[in-house]
Amino acid sequence: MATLKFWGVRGSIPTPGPETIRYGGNTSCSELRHNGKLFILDAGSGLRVLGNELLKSGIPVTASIFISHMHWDHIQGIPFFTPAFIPNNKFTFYGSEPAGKDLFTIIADQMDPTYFPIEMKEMGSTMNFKSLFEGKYKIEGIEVETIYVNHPGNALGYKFHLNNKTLVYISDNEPFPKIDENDKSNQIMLGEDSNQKLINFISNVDVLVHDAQYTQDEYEKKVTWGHSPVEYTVDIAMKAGVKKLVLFHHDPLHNDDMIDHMLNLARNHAQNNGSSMEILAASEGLTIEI
Amino acid sequence: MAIDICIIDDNKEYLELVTEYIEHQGYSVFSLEDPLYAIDKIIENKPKLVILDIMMPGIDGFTLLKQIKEDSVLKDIPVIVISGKMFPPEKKQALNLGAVAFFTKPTRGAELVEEIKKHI
Repeated sequence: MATLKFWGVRGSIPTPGPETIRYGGNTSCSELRHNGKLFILDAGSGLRVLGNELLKSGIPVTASIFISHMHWDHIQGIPFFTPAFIPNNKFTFYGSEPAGKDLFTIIADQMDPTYFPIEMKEMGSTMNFKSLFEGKYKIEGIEVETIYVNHPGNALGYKFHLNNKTLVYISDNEPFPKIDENDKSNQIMLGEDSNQKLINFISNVDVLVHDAQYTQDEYEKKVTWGHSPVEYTVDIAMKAGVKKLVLFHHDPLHNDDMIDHMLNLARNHAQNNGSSMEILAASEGLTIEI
Repeated sequence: MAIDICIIDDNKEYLELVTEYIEHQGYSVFSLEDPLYAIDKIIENKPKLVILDIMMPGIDGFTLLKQIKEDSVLKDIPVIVISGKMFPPEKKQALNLGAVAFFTKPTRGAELVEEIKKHI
Protein backbone atom coordinates (compact mmCIF):
# COMPACT_ATOMS: atom_id res chain seq x y z
CA MET A 1 0.00 0.00 0.00
CA ALA A 2 1.08 3.57 -0.66
CA THR A 3 0.10 6.78 1.08
CA LEU A 4 -0.11 10.26 -0.35
CA LYS A 5 -0.08 13.24 2.01
CA PHE A 6 -0.55 16.85 0.95
CA TRP A 7 1.71 19.57 2.39
CA GLY A 8 0.89 22.34 -0.08
CA VAL A 9 -2.16 22.55 -2.35
CA ARG A 10 -2.21 26.17 -3.49
CA GLY A 11 -1.25 27.48 -6.92
CA SER A 12 0.85 30.47 -7.88
CA ILE A 13 1.73 32.02 -4.50
CA PRO A 14 1.40 31.13 -0.80
CA THR A 15 -1.83 32.47 0.67
CA PRO A 16 -1.66 32.36 4.49
CA GLY A 17 -4.44 33.80 6.64
CA PRO A 18 -7.77 33.02 8.27
CA GLU A 19 -9.55 32.76 4.89
CA THR A 20 -7.48 29.75 3.81
CA ILE A 21 -7.00 27.99 7.11
CA ARG A 22 -8.99 24.83 6.30
CA TYR A 23 -7.49 23.97 2.90
CA GLY A 24 -4.14 25.65 3.52
CA GLY A 25 -2.08 28.34 1.86
CA ASN A 26 1.20 26.60 1.00
CA THR A 27 2.15 26.00 -2.63
CA SER A 28 2.46 22.56 -4.22
CA CYS A 29 4.13 19.77 -2.29
CA SER A 30 2.97 16.20 -1.65
CA GLU A 31 4.61 13.26 0.10
CA LEU A 32 4.27 9.80 -1.44
CA ARG A 33 5.38 6.78 0.59
CA HIS A 34 5.68 3.35 -0.95
CA ASN A 35 7.63 0.26 0.10
CA GLY A 36 9.63 2.30 2.60
CA LYS A 37 10.68 4.82 -0.05
CA LEU A 38 9.95 8.55 0.05
CA PHE A 39 8.89 10.40 -3.07
CA ILE A 40 8.18 14.14 -2.96
CA LEU A 41 5.96 15.64 -5.64
CA ASP A 42 6.90 19.27 -6.21
CA ALA A 43 8.83 21.56 -3.92
CA GLY A 44 6.59 24.56 -3.28
CA SER A 45 6.39 26.23 0.11
CA GLY A 46 4.75 23.09 1.57
CA LEU A 47 8.19 21.47 1.31
CA ARG A 48 9.40 23.60 4.21
CA VAL A 49 6.74 22.13 6.49
CA LEU A 50 7.38 18.59 5.25
CA GLY A 51 11.08 19.13 5.90
CA ASN A 52 10.44 20.09 9.51
CA GLU A 53 8.36 16.94 9.95
CA LEU A 54 11.10 14.76 8.44
CA LEU A 55 13.61 16.14 10.93
CA LYS A 56 11.57 14.81 13.85
CA SER A 57 12.47 11.20 13.08
CA GLY A 58 16.16 11.98 13.54
CA ILE A 59 17.16 9.44 10.89
CA PRO A 60 18.89 10.28 7.58
CA VAL A 61 16.48 11.19 4.79
CA THR A 62 16.68 9.83 1.26
CA ALA A 63 14.07 11.00 -1.21
CA SER A 64 13.28 11.34 -4.90
CA ILE A 65 11.86 14.78 -5.65
CA PHE A 66 9.75 15.08 -8.80
CA ILE A 67 9.26 18.62 -10.07
CA SER A 68 6.32 19.13 -12.42
CA HIS A 69 7.86 22.29 -13.87
CA MET A 70 10.15 25.05 -12.77
CA HIS A 71 7.75 27.86 -11.92
CA TRP A 72 8.37 29.43 -8.51
CA ASP A 73 5.37 27.88 -6.79
CA HIS A 74 6.89 24.45 -7.47
CA ILE A 75 10.47 25.11 -6.35
CA GLN A 76 10.29 27.92 -3.80
CA GLY A 77 10.39 25.58 -0.79
CA ILE A 78 13.87 24.26 -1.61
CA PRO A 79 15.88 27.08 0.05
CA PHE A 80 13.95 26.46 3.29
CA PHE A 81 14.02 22.65 3.16
CA THR A 82 16.14 22.04 6.25
CA PRO A 83 16.93 18.34 5.54
CA ALA A 84 18.79 19.48 2.41
CA PHE A 85 21.35 21.26 4.63
CA ILE A 86 22.25 18.10 6.56
CA PRO A 87 25.09 15.81 5.44
CA ASN A 88 24.11 12.12 5.06
CA ASN A 89 20.74 13.12 3.60
CA LYS A 90 20.37 12.29 -0.09
CA PHE A 91 18.01 13.82 -2.62
CA THR A 92 17.55 13.18 -6.32
CA PHE A 93 15.64 15.81 -8.28
CA TYR A 94 13.74 14.79 -11.41
CA GLY A 95 12.16 17.14 -13.93
CA SER A 96 12.09 18.36 -17.47
CA GLU A 97 14.66 20.94 -18.49
CA PRO A 98 13.96 23.45 -21.23
CA ALA A 99 16.65 23.92 -23.88
CA GLY A 100 19.63 25.92 -22.79
CA LYS A 101 19.75 25.16 -19.08
CA ASP A 102 20.44 22.02 -17.09
CA LEU A 103 18.19 20.96 -14.24
CA PHE A 104 20.63 21.95 -11.50
CA THR A 105 21.11 25.46 -12.91
CA ILE A 106 17.39 26.05 -13.31
CA ILE A 107 16.67 25.11 -9.69
CA ALA A 108 19.82 26.64 -8.22
CA ASP A 109 19.34 30.01 -9.92
CA GLN A 110 16.65 30.95 -7.39
CA MET A 111 19.39 30.73 -4.75
CA ASP A 112 21.76 33.07 -6.55
CA PRO A 113 23.30 35.41 -3.93
CA THR A 114 21.20 38.25 -5.35
CA TYR A 115 18.06 36.51 -4.13
CA PHE A 116 19.15 34.33 -1.22
CA PRO A 117 22.14 34.30 1.16
CA ILE A 118 23.03 30.61 0.70
CA GLU A 119 23.73 29.04 -2.67
CA MET A 120 22.30 25.63 -3.51
CA LYS A 121 25.78 24.13 -3.92
CA GLU A 122 26.45 25.08 -0.28
CA MET A 123 23.62 22.94 1.06
CA GLY A 124 25.21 20.04 2.88
CA SER A 125 23.24 17.04 1.64
CA THR A 126 24.04 14.96 -1.42
CA MET A 127 21.93 16.15 -4.34
CA ASN A 128 21.62 14.67 -7.80
CA PHE A 129 19.68 15.96 -10.78
CA LYS A 130 18.15 13.84 -13.53
CA SER A 131 16.41 15.25 -16.56
CA LEU A 132 13.20 13.60 -17.76
CA PHE A 133 11.32 13.71 -21.03
CA GLU A 134 7.98 12.21 -21.93
CA GLY A 135 8.44 8.48 -21.49
CA LYS A 136 8.72 5.56 -19.07
CA TYR A 137 11.32 5.30 -16.32
CA LYS A 138 12.19 2.91 -13.51
CA ILE A 139 13.00 4.97 -10.42
CA GLU A 140 13.64 3.57 -6.95
CA GLY A 141 12.01 0.30 -7.96
CA ILE A 142 8.80 1.76 -9.32
CA GLU A 143 7.69 2.46 -12.85
CA VAL A 144 7.15 6.16 -13.49
CA GLU A 145 5.50 7.40 -16.69
CA THR A 146 5.57 11.01 -17.78
CA ILE A 147 3.47 13.08 -20.15
CA TYR A 148 3.88 16.64 -21.38
CA VAL A 149 0.89 18.68 -20.25
CA ASN A 150 -0.49 21.99 -21.43
CA HIS A 151 1.24 24.56 -19.26
CA PRO A 152 4.04 26.98 -20.10
CA GLY A 153 7.54 25.59 -19.66
CA ASN A 154 7.94 21.88 -20.40
CA ALA A 155 5.55 20.87 -17.62
CA LEU A 156 5.25 17.15 -16.90
CA GLY A 157 2.49 15.00 -15.49
CA TYR A 158 3.57 11.86 -13.61
CA LYS A 159 2.04 8.41 -13.34
CA PHE A 160 3.33 6.20 -10.52
CA HIS A 161 2.73 2.45 -10.68
CA LEU A 162 2.50 1.36 -7.05
CA ASN A 163 2.23 -2.45 -7.13
CA ASN A 164 -1.23 -2.93 -8.63
CA LYS A 165 -2.40 0.65 -8.02
CA THR A 166 -1.76 3.85 -9.95
CA LEU A 167 -1.45 7.50 -9.00
CA VAL A 168 -1.36 10.32 -11.54
CA TYR A 169 -0.14 13.74 -10.47
CA ILE A 170 -0.81 16.66 -12.81
CA SER A 171 -0.43 19.86 -10.86
CA ASP A 172 -0.81 22.39 -13.67
CA ASN A 173 -2.66 21.80 -16.90
CA GLU A 174 -5.02 23.63 -19.23
CA PRO A 175 -7.37 22.03 -21.77
CA PHE A 176 -5.53 21.56 -25.06
CA PRO A 177 -6.91 23.63 -27.96
CA LYS A 178 -9.59 21.91 -30.00
CA ILE A 179 -10.76 22.48 -33.55
CA ASP A 180 -13.12 25.45 -33.50
CA GLU A 181 -16.40 24.16 -34.87
CA ASN A 182 -17.52 27.73 -35.50
CA ASP A 183 -14.49 28.53 -37.64
CA LYS A 184 -15.71 30.26 -40.80
CA SER A 185 -12.41 30.36 -42.68
CA ASN A 186 -13.20 27.24 -44.70
CA GLN A 187 -9.56 26.24 -44.35
CA ILE A 188 -8.46 22.68 -43.81
CA MET A 189 -7.57 22.30 -40.13
CA LEU A 190 -4.55 20.16 -39.37
CA GLY A 191 -5.51 18.93 -35.94
CA GLU A 192 -4.96 16.39 -33.27
CA ASP A 193 -6.83 15.84 -30.03
CA SER A 194 -4.19 16.09 -27.34
CA ASN A 195 -6.96 16.01 -24.73
CA GLN A 196 -7.58 12.41 -25.79
CA LYS A 197 -3.90 11.61 -25.28
CA LEU A 198 -4.23 12.91 -21.74
CA ILE A 199 -7.40 10.89 -21.16
CA ASN A 200 -5.54 7.78 -22.32
CA PHE A 201 -2.74 8.58 -19.88
CA ILE A 202 -5.13 8.75 -16.91
CA SER A 203 -7.28 5.85 -18.05
CA ASN A 204 -8.61 3.83 -15.08
CA VAL A 205 -6.11 5.20 -12.57
CA ASP A 206 -6.93 4.77 -8.90
CA VAL A 207 -6.12 8.33 -7.86
CA LEU A 208 -5.83 11.40 -10.07
CA VAL A 209 -4.54 14.63 -8.56
CA HIS A 210 -5.27 17.35 -11.13
CA ASP A 211 -5.31 21.11 -11.53
CA ALA A 212 -8.80 22.54 -10.93
CA GLN A 213 -7.92 26.16 -10.34
CA TYR A 214 -10.93 27.88 -11.90
CA THR A 215 -14.64 27.63 -12.40
CA GLN A 216 -15.71 27.56 -16.05
CA ASP A 217 -16.74 31.24 -15.84
CA GLU A 218 -13.35 32.24 -14.42
CA TYR A 219 -11.56 30.18 -17.05
CA GLU A 220 -13.21 32.06 -19.93
CA LYS A 221 -11.28 35.15 -18.77
CA LYS A 222 -8.06 33.26 -18.15
CA VAL A 223 -7.50 31.17 -21.27
CA THR A 224 -3.74 30.60 -21.84
CA TRP A 225 -2.97 31.04 -18.14
CA GLY A 226 -2.19 27.32 -18.03
CA HIS A 227 -4.89 26.04 -15.67
CA SER A 228 -8.10 24.06 -15.83
CA PRO A 229 -11.71 24.81 -15.03
CA VAL A 230 -13.04 22.28 -12.53
CA GLU A 231 -15.67 21.08 -15.04
CA TYR A 232 -12.96 20.05 -17.53
CA THR A 233 -11.05 18.22 -14.83
CA VAL A 234 -14.16 16.26 -13.87
CA ASP A 235 -14.99 15.59 -17.53
CA ILE A 236 -11.63 14.04 -18.42
CA ALA A 237 -11.58 12.05 -15.18
CA MET A 238 -15.05 10.64 -15.90
CA LYS A 239 -14.14 9.80 -19.50
CA ALA A 240 -11.00 8.03 -18.31
CA GLY A 241 -12.77 6.01 -15.63
CA VAL A 242 -10.72 7.49 -12.79
CA LYS A 243 -11.68 6.03 -9.43
CA LYS A 244 -10.80 8.95 -7.15
CA LEU A 245 -10.26 12.55 -8.26
CA VAL A 246 -8.46 15.09 -6.08
CA LEU A 247 -8.90 18.75 -7.06
CA PHE A 248 -5.56 20.51 -6.73
CA HIS A 249 -3.68 23.79 -7.26
CA HIS A 250 -6.31 26.03 -5.69
CA ASP A 251 -6.45 29.59 -6.90
CA PRO A 252 -4.86 32.14 -4.52
CA LEU A 253 -8.01 34.25 -4.91
CA HIS A 254 -10.19 31.42 -3.58
CA ASN A 255 -10.94 31.24 0.14
CA ASP A 256 -12.06 28.09 1.93
CA ASP A 257 -15.75 28.70 1.24
CA MET A 258 -15.04 29.09 -2.47
CA ILE A 259 -13.14 25.79 -2.55
CA ASP A 260 -16.12 24.16 -0.78
CA HIS A 261 -18.29 25.62 -3.53
CA MET A 262 -15.98 24.28 -6.26
CA LEU A 263 -15.99 20.85 -4.69
CA ASN A 264 -19.80 20.91 -4.75
CA LEU A 265 -19.69 22.05 -8.37
CA ALA A 266 -17.45 19.13 -9.23
CA ARG A 267 -19.56 16.57 -7.41
CA ASN A 268 -22.79 17.87 -8.93
CA HIS A 269 -21.23 17.92 -12.39
CA ALA A 270 -20.20 14.27 -12.00
CA GLN A 271 -23.57 13.25 -10.55
CA ASN A 272 -25.48 15.03 -13.33
CA ASN A 273 -23.45 13.00 -15.81
CA GLY A 274 -24.23 9.72 -14.10
CA SER A 275 -20.84 9.28 -12.48
CA SER A 276 -20.27 8.00 -8.96
CA MET A 277 -16.57 8.89 -9.04
CA GLU A 278 -15.26 9.96 -5.64
CA ILE A 279 -14.12 13.59 -5.64
CA LEU A 280 -12.11 15.39 -2.97
CA ALA A 281 -10.47 18.79 -2.75
CA ALA A 282 -6.83 18.63 -1.66
CA SER A 283 -6.09 20.22 1.70
CA GLU A 284 -2.93 20.40 3.76
CA GLY A 285 -2.67 17.30 5.91
CA LEU A 286 -5.10 15.24 3.82
CA THR A 287 -3.75 11.69 3.56
CA ILE A 288 -4.97 9.20 0.98
CA GLU A 289 -4.27 5.49 0.96
CA ILE A 290 -3.61 4.12 -2.50
CA MET B 1 16.02 14.30 -55.35
CA ALA B 2 16.40 17.26 -53.03
CA ILE B 3 13.88 17.29 -50.22
CA ASP B 4 11.86 20.44 -49.59
CA ILE B 5 10.59 19.92 -46.08
CA CYS B 6 11.38 17.74 -43.07
CA ILE B 7 8.51 17.32 -40.58
CA ILE B 8 9.27 15.99 -37.09
CA ASP B 9 6.39 15.02 -34.82
CA ASP B 10 5.94 12.03 -32.53
CA ASN B 11 2.19 11.94 -33.12
CA LYS B 12 1.90 9.51 -36.04
CA GLU B 13 -1.64 10.50 -36.97
CA TYR B 14 -0.81 14.20 -37.04
CA LEU B 15 2.44 13.59 -38.89
CA GLU B 16 0.64 11.69 -41.64
CA LEU B 17 -2.04 14.37 -41.89
CA VAL B 18 0.41 17.26 -42.26
CA THR B 19 2.71 15.30 -44.57
CA GLU B 20 -0.15 14.42 -46.90
CA TYR B 21 -1.46 17.99 -46.90
CA ILE B 22 1.92 19.54 -47.68
CA GLU B 23 2.78 16.96 -50.34
CA HIS B 24 -0.57 17.77 -51.95
CA GLN B 25 0.65 21.38 -52.22
CA GLY B 26 3.53 20.16 -54.38
CA TYR B 27 6.36 19.92 -51.87
CA SER B 28 8.56 16.88 -51.31
CA VAL B 29 8.53 15.83 -47.68
CA PHE B 30 10.26 13.40 -45.41
CA SER B 31 8.68 12.85 -42.06
CA LEU B 32 10.18 11.66 -38.79
CA GLU B 33 8.22 10.19 -35.91
CA ASP B 34 11.28 9.58 -33.75
CA PRO B 35 13.04 12.85 -32.91
CA LEU B 36 16.15 11.20 -31.47
CA TYR B 37 17.92 10.85 -34.82
CA ALA B 38 16.48 14.01 -36.34
CA ILE B 39 19.76 15.89 -36.66
CA ASP B 40 21.41 13.01 -38.55
CA LYS B 41 18.40 12.77 -40.86
CA ILE B 42 18.38 16.51 -41.51
CA ILE B 43 22.09 16.44 -42.38
CA GLU B 44 21.49 13.44 -44.65
CA ASN B 45 18.47 14.87 -46.50
CA LYS B 46 19.34 18.58 -46.51
CA PRO B 47 15.77 19.91 -46.46
CA LYS B 48 15.04 23.51 -47.37
CA LEU B 49 12.77 23.90 -44.34
CA VAL B 50 12.01 22.05 -41.09
CA ILE B 51 8.66 21.79 -39.32
CA LEU B 52 9.11 20.83 -35.70
CA ASP B 53 6.86 19.73 -32.83
CA ILE B 54 7.81 20.68 -29.26
CA MET B 55 6.52 18.04 -26.87
CA MET B 56 8.24 14.84 -27.97
CA PRO B 57 9.70 11.86 -26.10
CA GLY B 58 13.46 11.58 -25.70
CA ILE B 59 14.28 15.08 -26.87
CA ASP B 60 12.04 18.14 -26.93
CA GLY B 61 11.64 20.41 -29.93
CA PHE B 62 13.31 23.39 -28.25
CA THR B 63 16.47 21.35 -27.75
CA LEU B 64 16.37 20.20 -31.39
CA LEU B 65 15.80 23.75 -32.57
CA LYS B 66 18.77 24.93 -30.53
CA GLN B 67 20.93 22.16 -31.99
CA ILE B 68 19.91 23.11 -35.53
CA LYS B 69 20.63 26.79 -34.96
CA GLU B 70 24.03 26.07 -33.36
CA ASP B 71 25.15 23.78 -36.19
CA SER B 72 27.28 25.60 -38.74
CA VAL B 73 25.81 23.57 -41.63
CA LEU B 74 22.16 23.57 -40.56
CA LYS B 75 21.76 26.98 -38.96
CA ASP B 76 20.34 28.70 -42.04
CA ILE B 77 17.52 26.21 -42.53
CA PRO B 78 14.22 27.95 -41.63
CA VAL B 79 12.36 26.16 -38.85
CA ILE B 80 8.61 26.43 -38.26
CA VAL B 81 7.47 25.27 -34.81
CA ILE B 82 4.03 23.72 -34.40
CA SER B 83 2.89 22.86 -30.89
CA GLY B 84 -0.20 21.71 -29.03
CA LYS B 85 0.63 24.43 -26.55
CA MET B 86 -0.68 27.93 -27.08
CA PHE B 87 1.20 30.00 -24.54
CA PRO B 88 3.00 33.27 -25.26
CA PRO B 89 6.19 32.11 -23.43
CA GLU B 90 6.42 29.07 -25.72
CA LYS B 91 6.10 31.22 -28.84
CA LYS B 92 8.64 33.68 -27.48
CA GLN B 93 11.11 30.90 -26.68
CA ALA B 94 10.74 29.36 -30.14
CA LEU B 95 11.32 32.70 -31.87
CA ASN B 96 14.22 33.56 -29.56
CA LEU B 97 15.86 30.25 -30.45
CA GLY B 98 15.61 31.11 -34.14
CA ALA B 99 12.30 29.71 -35.40
CA VAL B 100 10.76 31.72 -38.24
CA ALA B 101 7.18 31.10 -37.09
CA PHE B 102 5.12 29.43 -34.35
CA PHE B 103 1.77 27.74 -34.94
CA THR B 104 -0.59 26.15 -32.45
CA LYS B 105 -2.32 22.85 -33.22
CA PRO B 106 -4.87 22.59 -34.70
CA THR B 107 -3.33 24.59 -37.52
CA ARG B 108 -5.03 26.21 -40.49
CA GLY B 109 -3.51 24.43 -43.50
CA ALA B 110 -3.50 27.45 -45.82
CA GLU B 111 -1.78 29.64 -43.23
CA LEU B 112 0.93 27.05 -42.79
CA VAL B 113 1.51 26.83 -46.55
CA GLU B 114 1.59 30.62 -46.79
CA GLU B 115 4.36 30.63 -44.19
CA ILE B 116 6.26 27.89 -46.05
CA LYS B 117 6.08 29.93 -49.26
CA LYS B 118 7.84 32.83 -47.55
CA HIS B 119 10.93 30.70 -47.07
CA ILE B 120 11.21 28.25 -50.00
